[in-house]
Amino acid sequence: MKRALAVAALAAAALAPAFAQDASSDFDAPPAAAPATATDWGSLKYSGDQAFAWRWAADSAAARTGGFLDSTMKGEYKYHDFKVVAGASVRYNEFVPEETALYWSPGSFRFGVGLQEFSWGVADKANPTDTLNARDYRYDVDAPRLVNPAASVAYYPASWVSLEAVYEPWKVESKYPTDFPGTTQAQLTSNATALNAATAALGNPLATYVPTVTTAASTAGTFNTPVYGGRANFFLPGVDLSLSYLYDRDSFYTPVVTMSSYGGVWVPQSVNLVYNPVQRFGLNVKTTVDRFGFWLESAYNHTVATWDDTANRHDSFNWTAGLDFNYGPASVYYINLQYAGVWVMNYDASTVAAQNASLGVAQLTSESYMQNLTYRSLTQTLGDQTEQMLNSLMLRMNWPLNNATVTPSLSGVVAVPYNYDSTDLTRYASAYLNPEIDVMPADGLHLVAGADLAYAWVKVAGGSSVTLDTTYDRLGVYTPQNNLYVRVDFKWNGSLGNS
Amino acid sequence: MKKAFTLVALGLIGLAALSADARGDQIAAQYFGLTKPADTSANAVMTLIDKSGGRKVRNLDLYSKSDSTGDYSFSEFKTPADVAGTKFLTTPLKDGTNEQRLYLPALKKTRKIASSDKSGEFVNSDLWYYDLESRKLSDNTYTFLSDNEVIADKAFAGMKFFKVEVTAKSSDCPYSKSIFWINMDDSHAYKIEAYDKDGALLKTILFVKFEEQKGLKVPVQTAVTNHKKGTKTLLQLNNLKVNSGLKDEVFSVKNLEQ
Repeated sequence: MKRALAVAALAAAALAPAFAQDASSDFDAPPAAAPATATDWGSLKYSGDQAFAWRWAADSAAARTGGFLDSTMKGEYKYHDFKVVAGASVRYNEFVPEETALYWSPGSFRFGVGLQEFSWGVADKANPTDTLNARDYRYDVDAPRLVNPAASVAYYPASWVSLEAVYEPWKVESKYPTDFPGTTQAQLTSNATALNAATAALGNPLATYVPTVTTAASTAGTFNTPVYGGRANFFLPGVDLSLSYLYDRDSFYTPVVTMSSYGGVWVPQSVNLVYNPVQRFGLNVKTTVDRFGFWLESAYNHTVATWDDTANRHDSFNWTAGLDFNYGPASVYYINLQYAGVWVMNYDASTVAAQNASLGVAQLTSESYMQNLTYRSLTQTLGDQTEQMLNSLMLRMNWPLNNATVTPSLSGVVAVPYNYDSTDLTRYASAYLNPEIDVMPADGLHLVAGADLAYAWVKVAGGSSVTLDTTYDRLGVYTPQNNLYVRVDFKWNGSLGNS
Repeated sequence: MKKAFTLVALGLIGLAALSADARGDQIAAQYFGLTKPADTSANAVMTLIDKSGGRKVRNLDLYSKSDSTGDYSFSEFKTPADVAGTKFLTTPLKDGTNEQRLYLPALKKTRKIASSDKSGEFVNSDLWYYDLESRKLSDNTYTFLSDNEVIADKAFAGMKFFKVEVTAKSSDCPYSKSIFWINMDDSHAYKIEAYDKDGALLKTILFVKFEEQKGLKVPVQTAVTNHKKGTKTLLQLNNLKVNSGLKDEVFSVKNLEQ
């Protein structure tokens, strides 16, 4: 009997650990979110993103230093096939409207009207076909889009194809850290002074000459013209493909020069800066092979001629080819490598030399020569066409650790120009580097520290050494600040109802 | 005489091995032959538990559907804000493989995902993209290991299981092998142990609770333990609907992008 009890006790002991576990008890602990209740009143989603950043200048050209609160609020109400989206931000201490639009999705269609944001292209950030929205280039390399009034329709006739059309009654202007009208006015005023001095032998005919610069915004009808286009997307087995066409606006000013004669000397009397129409033909291809994703995005940009080749923006061909893959433990580490480039057709690499050449009476009294010279000195520069070809290598890597609660990352770009005007400057390469670490102590809360660093390797004409500086940074048009930063970013969201 | 005995013994061993494989195939055939729902939908709560016990909760909507081409799935994250609006679509191809696309709301873009991501973590959980795909009987080889097994857990009290070793034929599979505990009564898998390429136990997946609707059983509580990382993911399905007639548009690029 005693032995039987001992055996029973041993058996119980053996069983006890087995049933000490209860996998179902794990599910009692988390406060499972109350399931949304079906209602005829639709659903409301709301979200916010509040980020406070502090920036320290790493060089004297830093444009934005000190503390900034960037705040975004968004709401979305959905009722069956209808959806209303509204949002606004305070960014860099300015009020900025975000996507605010009405969408209707009956059957295979989706219609949209309002302030919309479009995201075309398969490449990572360097998107030649993604031009429907203007950008704010003033402070960030990842220039945020500016919403545009638009009407759009997407049609999904089958699972493997979709067709989109977009109409923008006018296009919002991009924002740059450079005051293009101001710098153009300064350049013309400086030229006027030099020309006046150079024509002393002719009796100073330009003594009263004052050139003026106006912009499209002040000239009715030159900018408020529509942008429209569309794209066809094909989701084929193994490959996603899209073809697009846009009758777009140039992102940069093109000068329209009016010449005047002062005592027989021809000079630019006024320069009106306009945004010319550009036709963009785009191609996107994305495929995956084993663990790798591959993509190609390209666009041919044809400027609709309004004057001649010199006065007009040159056509250009932009492309981005890239690959990405995950690696490391559980494939959580990520690497993204891209080669991007732009080729400017008929690029004029002798403008500065022509400007520097002394002007004789024959040239000064030739309207066509002086007009041509004015266009050559302005058009390419204003259009950000500073070389025939720019080749860029881009790298982005991140290493999420401890379930992505700590994520160091590194982004970088190296750009090398080919065939540019080297009269004043020999440009070797430009580089931008963005090391960053993101700590996420709780969902939605990010503590970020990093640096924006942009430099160029150049040699000034007459100089003997290659210097590393920020003044001539090719990428610096969009990154005028080298700084260190810390940021506290809190994102939150919620919802009511369920349609 | 001694030689004849050895031959007989070898023959018996060979026969036994053949029987094990045949039985493994038979059990696997029953498992894969279970009638699957034509479609399901649910509000899911995913709880990520780190190695120190800290919890993070994600809410998402899950939809699935099967047809003659294969299995479709669509998921959309509701919370937290970091991932809210992220949508994930899997569609089958006629060659038996499938394609996966991810919609990232911050980028407003649909991205085709490379197969490497299939061995990656699904939103930092212990579920890998590979785990979210469905499999066919012919995708694996099967070896019967034992029967009348028990799972030492209260949730599975009174149940008896077959143990079957499952090895994927494709090199895409991030596991060297998996051990399935298949219920001897209903042929459903209640536990899966997945081993890494070095043969070490990597994950344990427990299907803790099933819900039966319209004669079909669907796991509504799943626990995934990553032994290497010491982390755990719990997936709870609420408001489960089976065979509700989900439309094809749910599993479309349009649904990703709207």
